[in-house]
Order: sequence, then C-alpha cells, then structure tokens
Amino acid sequence: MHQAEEGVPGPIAAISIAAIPIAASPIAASIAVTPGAATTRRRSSGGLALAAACLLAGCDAPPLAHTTPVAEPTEALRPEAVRGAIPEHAHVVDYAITARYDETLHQIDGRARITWRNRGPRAVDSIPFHLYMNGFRAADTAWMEQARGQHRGETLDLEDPWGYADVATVERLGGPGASDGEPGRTALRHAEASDPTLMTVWLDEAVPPGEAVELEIAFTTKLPRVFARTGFADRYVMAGQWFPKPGVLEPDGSWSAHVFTLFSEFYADFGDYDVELDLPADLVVGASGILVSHAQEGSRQRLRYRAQMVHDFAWTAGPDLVEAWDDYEGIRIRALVPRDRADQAEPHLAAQRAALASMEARFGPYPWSTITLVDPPEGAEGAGGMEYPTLYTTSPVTAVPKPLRMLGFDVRLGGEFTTVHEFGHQYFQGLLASNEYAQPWLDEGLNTFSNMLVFVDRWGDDGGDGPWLAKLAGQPLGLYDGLRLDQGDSSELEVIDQTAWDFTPLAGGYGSVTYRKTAALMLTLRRIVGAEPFDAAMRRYADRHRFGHPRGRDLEATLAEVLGERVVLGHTADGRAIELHLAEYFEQALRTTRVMDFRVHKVTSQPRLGDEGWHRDEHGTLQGGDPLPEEPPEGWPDEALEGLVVVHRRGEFVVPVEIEVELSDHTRERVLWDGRGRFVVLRFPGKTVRWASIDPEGRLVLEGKRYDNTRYAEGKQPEATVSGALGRVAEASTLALAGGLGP
Amino acid sequence: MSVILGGLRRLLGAPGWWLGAWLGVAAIAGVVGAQVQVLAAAAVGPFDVLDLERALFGIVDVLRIDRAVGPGLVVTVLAGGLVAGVAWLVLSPLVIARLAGHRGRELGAQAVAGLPGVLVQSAWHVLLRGGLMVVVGLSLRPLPDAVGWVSGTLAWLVAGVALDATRVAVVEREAARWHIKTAWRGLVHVVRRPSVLVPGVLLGLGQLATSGAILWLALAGLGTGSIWAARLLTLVSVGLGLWRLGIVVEDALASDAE
Repeated sequence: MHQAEEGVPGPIAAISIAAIPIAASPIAASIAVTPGAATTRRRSSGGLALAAACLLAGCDAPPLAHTTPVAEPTEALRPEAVRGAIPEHAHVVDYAITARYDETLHQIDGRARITWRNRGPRAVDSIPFHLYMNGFRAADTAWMEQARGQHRGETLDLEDPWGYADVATVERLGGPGASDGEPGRTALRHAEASDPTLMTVWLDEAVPPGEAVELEIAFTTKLPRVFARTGFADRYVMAGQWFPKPGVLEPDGSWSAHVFTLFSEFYADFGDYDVELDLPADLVVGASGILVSHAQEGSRQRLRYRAQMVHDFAWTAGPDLVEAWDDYEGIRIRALVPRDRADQAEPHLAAQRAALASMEARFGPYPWSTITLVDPPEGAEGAGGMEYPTLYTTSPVTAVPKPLRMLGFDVRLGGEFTTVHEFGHQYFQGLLASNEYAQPWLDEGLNTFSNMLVFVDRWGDDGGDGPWLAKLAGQPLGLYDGLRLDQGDSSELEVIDQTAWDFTPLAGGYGSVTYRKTAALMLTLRRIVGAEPFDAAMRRYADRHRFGHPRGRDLEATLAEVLGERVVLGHTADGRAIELHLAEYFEQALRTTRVMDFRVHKVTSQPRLGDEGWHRDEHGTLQGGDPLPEEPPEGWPDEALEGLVVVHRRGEFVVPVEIEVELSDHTRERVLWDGRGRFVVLRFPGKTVRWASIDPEGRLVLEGKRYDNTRYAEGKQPEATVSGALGRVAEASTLALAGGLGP
Repeated sequence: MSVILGGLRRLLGAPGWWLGAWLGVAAIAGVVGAQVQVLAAAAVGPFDVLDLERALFGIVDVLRIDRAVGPGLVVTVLAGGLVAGVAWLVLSPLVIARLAGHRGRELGAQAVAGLPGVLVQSAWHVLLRGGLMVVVGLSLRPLPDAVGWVSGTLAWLVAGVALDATRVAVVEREAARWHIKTAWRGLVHVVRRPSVLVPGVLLGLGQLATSGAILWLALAGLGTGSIWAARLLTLVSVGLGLWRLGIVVEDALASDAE
C-alpha cells in the first residue's frame, strides 16, 4: 500500500541509509522493479479508507524509487587483498552444470560434470553422493519418517507432495576420446542406498591421493510443492539441493555422507561452480554466485552463473519478484522481494548491512563479491529462512504501525532477524563449513550466537541486558532475557552435542537446544570471561577455519588456547583462586543435560558469636565466666548480629557465580562462589542483610529461570513486587473493561 | 449542540450517581486486583521481588514458571468485567430514569417497570450488533486491515448508541418491551439523527480511548505506577458513558416535548 507507481517519482528519490546506526560505507540503496512488470498495485479503497489506514498503519514507509541496479561483480570472490588467501587443499570439487527447468512438470533436467580431487591419504574406488531431494520421494524415507508431513509449521502438500532426484547415468570422463574431440566416457555403476538420499558411484579405477576424477551425471530432479525449503509454488520456484553432490572425504580417509533427516541439513566440500540455467524468459532469477551471461531465446532465457569456493549452489525464480540493490564495501547486495511486499526491501537491506558490518568486524572479511536475499512470496513460506552460499531466503518483516511505536510497542524480531540469521550462515556454515549432520550446533548455535552480537553491534548496550528485542508500552525485553525465555523446558531434555539424527522430534528440543541453548552457553561464557578475550578467541577460530570443516573440538581447543584452560575469575577470602574450568564448562553445557539454576534459599540473621563463658588461658586455668547478654527490649542491634545468606545450587550445572547483598548500613558487597557445593552460607558479622541477589550482572544467560535469584530478608520490603505489579495490571484491566462497557 | 449540552446538564445534575457508579466499578476492580495479587504472591512465595529495569522479563518469568497465574489473571479480570457488565445492564433503567429527572418512589417504579424490557431488548441488541459486525466485516474484507478495524469500531459504537436509544424508549416512552422491532427502531432512530449519533459515537470513542490509556498506564508503569491514575481515568470514562446516555435521554424527552 506504500508503493509508488512506476515512473512516478516519490518524494525520496533514493533511500538514504544515513540514519542506519551502523558503521556502513557511504552507499546508496536502490529499489527497482523488473522490466515488463514494473507497476506496483495500489488498493483503490477510497480516500477516507486510505486515510484511516494511514492513520493506523503510520504511513512512514518510504516510497520506492527506481535507480540503476548495482553492477554485477566481475569476479565471484573479492580481491585476495580483501578476503585473504584461500588454502589450496580447501579446493576439492568443481561443478559444471547445465539444467533446464520445465515449469509444467516442475522438473529440472540436468547434466553435472564434477571434478573431484582426492585430498585424502588413500586411494578411493567409490564415491558416496548425496541426493537430498530424495528425502521427499516417499512417505518412508528417513526424512519423512521423522517429519510425518510437518516442517516448521508447514504441512506437506497433498497434491504435489513428492520430490526426487533421479540419476540416469554416471560416466567417468577421460581416456581415449571419440573422433569429435570429446573426452572418452566410461559408464560407471551407481546405486542408491537403503535410504534414497544416498547413492554410491563405483569407479572403474581408484583415484590415488592427490589425483582427480571427472564424472558426468545425467539427472532429473522433480520439485515438490514448497514445503521444506525447496520446491515450487505456482510459478515461483526455489531450487535448493537439486543436484547430486559428493560426500566429504575426511583427512583420516573416512567418508562423511549422511542420510538426509529432518534436522540434518547439509555438508559438502568447497569448489567452483559453473552453472547454466535454461528458464522461462519472464522469471526474475536469483542464484548463488555472479551472473556471467544472459541470453533471451524466445520464451526462454539462458543464464550462466559462476560461484567460487562455495559448497553448494541454489537458485530461485519467480514472475512477481521486485529487485532492490545495495553495495557494502564492494559487496553487491541484491534483494528479491514479492511485489506486494516491495516496501520491505529496505528493512531487509538495512538488516543485511548491519549483519555484514558486525560479522566482518568479528569474524573476518566476507570473501564473496555478492549476496542475494530472497523473501519468498505468499504460498512459498516453506522456502523461507534457509541459507545457501551467497544466497539465502528470509521471511516477511513484522511492521509495527507508527502510532503503536509512539506508544512504546515495538519489536526487532521477524523478517529482519531472519535476514540477520540467514546471512550469518554465510559464515557459520558457508565459510566455516562444519558438518551440519554430525554437529548441528556448530552452525545453528554459533550462528544464533553471532546474531545476538549483530544486535549488540547494531543497537548498542553490550552490558546489562543487552539491546531490547521487544517493547510493551515502553517496557523493554532485553536480548539476553529474551534468550532465557526462548530456551524453554524442552531444552532440558537433550544434549547439544549430538548428531542431527539423534535428536528426537517428539522431544521437541532440537530448536531450543541447538539454536538458543548453544547461543546462551556461548554468551554466558563471553560474559563470564569478558567480551574482549572471548571475542579475540572467536576471531582466531574464525580465521583459522575459513574454508575448512571445523569440528566442535576445534572450537573448544581454540577457546582454551586463547582464554586458558582455567580462567581465574577471583579469589576467596583466604586467597584461593576461583576458576572456571573451560573443559568442564563445555562438557556440562554441550554433552550433558545439566541445568544451570540457583536460588537464594535464605536471608536471615542470628546473634553474633561472642566470647562469653569460661575459657582456658595460656596456663590452662579457666577464666571469664561472663554471662550471655540479654536481648534488649528493642531487639539486638546490628552489631550484635550476624547476617546470613544461604545460596542453593538447584541445578546440576557447576559454574562460579557472583552474589550481591545489601547490608543493613545500605552498603553492598559482592561475593564470588565457585558453585561447587550444593549450597554456600555467606556470613556478614556485625551487620544484617536486607537482600541478596544471585548473578546481579545477568552473566548466566544459560540460567533460564531467575525469579528466585533475589530474596529479601523477612520484614524488608522490596521497592516493587511481582504480585503487586500483576495485581495492578489486573485491576487496571478491569477498570478499562468495566469503564469502557458502561453504562 | 443543545442536545449535547442538555445531556451534559443531566449528567451534572446527578453527580452522586456518577460518583456512585465509579465507586462501584472501582470496588469490583479492586477486588479483582487483590485476588490476582494474592494468587501471584502465593505463586512466587518469598521471591516476590520485581527488578524494575527488567520488569517485563520478571513478570513473564513468573507467568511461565507458575502456569496458573496467567490464566488466573485473565479469568479473574473477565469475571470482574462480567460482573460490571451485568451490573450496568440491570442498573441501566435506574440510571436512565434518574437522568430523565425522576426522583424518589417514581424513580424506582419507572426503573422496575422498565427492567424486563431493557433486559429483553439488550438481548435483541446482542443479535443486532453481532449481525452488524458480520456485515461490516464481510463487506470490508478486501480492504486493508486498518480500514476494517476503524469501520468495525465505528459499527460497534453505533450499535451502542442504538442500544441506548432502545433502552430509553422502553423506560421513558413505553416502547414495546419484547419485540425485536423496538431494537431495530432504536438503530434506525439514531442513524436518522446525527445530532445524537455523532456525539454518542465520539463519547464512545472517548471511553475506548480512556480504557486504552488505563491499560497503557498499567503496562508503562509496571511495578511502579500508582493505580490512582487508572482509577481517576475510570471516573472520566464512566462520566463519558453517562453523558452519552444523557444525550439520548435529552433527545428523547425533547422529541416528546415537541
């Protein structure tokens, strides 16, 4: 409803990003509409209706402007001086693919010429391939067995549920060729495994270490109606995992090739892609890599893309996609959004810029020259929120009307967060290509953690509770508290560090454990040991494993290397160091279901220990005999008392924790407890305690339930109470209801 | 304008009724608040502390840990609203009679005589209002949500003024008590009389805005704000409602006089 008609200049000719509070280059964002379908719809609902809608919705979104698209980069990678060197051993497999999409059959017919290099220690005589699309081939595949027709709130379509990748032939190229100059071809045996998402190709000759083999695979991929990441919705198509991909040969000579399951996602080696797509001419296309040529051929178009040092290639196309462009430090950003949500391109681009600024500063330069974000149209929601190299899908922006924002209601989640999250995957699995099947927390969890830091960098406030995620009448819900609430009870059922297959869909913990709990454990560690050393450790991890396949133990080792195996956090009164044992922390957090939970068990006082009574002197003679003092009518003075605080570690998770107390003289003291015992008693001779609070800085993001972390001594009243607040809300709600109803 | 001022005069002529109605609403709300406070205090036990810098998290943390608190709050508030609604319904003939200038025994007799008709006509108006909302909802479905919300709210308020007109007709003009036509005539009557409908709808909007302000104050001042601001706003809200009714009474009696 906010779009301008094509050719009608709006009051803002180009959307300025000057107001975006991030360190961004002086760049101009632009939005344009594809030729031939440039006019955006305007509802003809009448002036009064539109005025009313404007009043409620807050007509503050900028109108669209048409400017020249940002030029296609000429190289798929940024210059080496910017992105750094790429180790030769990372380059394992190259693809040259030609594919034709038949939108009537929703079918891709393709040929993939794959050059695979043996980087392992032994000769290889067979290669496992992933045929991920076969996860949707029948009701009894491993994927379907776990999903049972449901995926992230989407339901399997009853009319077009099935998708598959069918390999017709596999040939080895090389050897004596034919007279036409083509290389020789040798047909190879291939067969699917018991689950059709895996296929083995048996080579006629073993490939020695350091050598390469060139294969050509003829395949047909049938797309399902969009359900889980990939497929078609009317004329829109999202083609992900659409061609056969070899498994990963690990340094020890073993293969990592997994059955595609509900939570497993993907794993592949880096290499170059040269992909030629033959598509209907009127579709707007987005793909991994850069577009190197484009030709119209009647009702078809032929597009050729090149991507370098990536481990996957995806493309999308639709008739009603609006394009928007941006540039960040030489990285071409292209947004494809549905025409009826064209005004959402700018918030997505702003989120993209913020994510780039934060991720580059924290985890090193983004190596590729382009990034394409796609907001799938209505009906293709199942394709939203998925990452592929240099291309990802996001979700619609949650637009809070301006009047509500003025009243203090706002939210920073929704599509902008999806954009930050899916772009984050360009690092945490796109660049640091961990095995998403074996250790899904390494990509989803670390990525979610990095998303939190993007929020911190974009909106500020790294201390306290972090930047707000949502506001209700001006009451903020902070980042770290939001993460606490989001972990949920199901996060206590399953450990983080397990394979995707081992997660039980019925337990319902995959999301909260892999994403949120991992992020919480990383943020907890960061807040315990300090942001600076922690961020330095993460940078070293990111630098060390770019274009690699890091494992969890690599992350743990790098953190221990930078932070130390034992981090001294403070000392006890008798000088004993209180340390965080990094290995113990990771063991508990990653490989057990131990819960972090503390409670102030008691805040009280007792008469101070005196020296009345009989004591022996140095000669062994009993001396003294003073009687116990009588309690004065007005009660014991503070000096005669000893304040006591009992802190209970309710959960099994052992971690040092700080306790703050306010004493009767209104001074505050902080005590660090190593958290090893089940409880600790804190004594404050000569004073009483007004209140005690565990983890006053909120460092323990892993501690989800905090309502019992603060307690007042009996007779001491807090400034505000939960019961009082809820009582007032209830009373006010009744007043609003009854007053509004009557008479 | 004279109808509007006449309605206001009728309200100001019965300040004790205004105050009494407000005290009644405040008493019901006070009981609801106390009940919820007791429920929440029992749920959190000795940990009844709210960190004002993180009040929203503090509240949500408790609501998710003790799952009875949230539903308990909602049910108690709805029960309070229901009690208030029934009280408004039953007492409305009395209020109308008083705004119409009756006193003493005559006041009681007028109200008692009008009560059964008011109850029946209020039931008919539930159907009428429901039907109106459905028609508005269906006809505006293709339009943006915001237009739907605005139109729906206006339709709701128009139906409210129509109910006022029907009740006044039953209590003061001896309209047919049981027949649905009386309810329908109330709607037709106000639609044909913008001098009544427009101020009635505006005052209704004022009531809604006041209710919104009350809720906003409660949330914005979570844990700290005084409930007295909300109580005083309710005095305004009740006054606006009585004024709205007074306008309809004024219009009816002025028509009779003509």
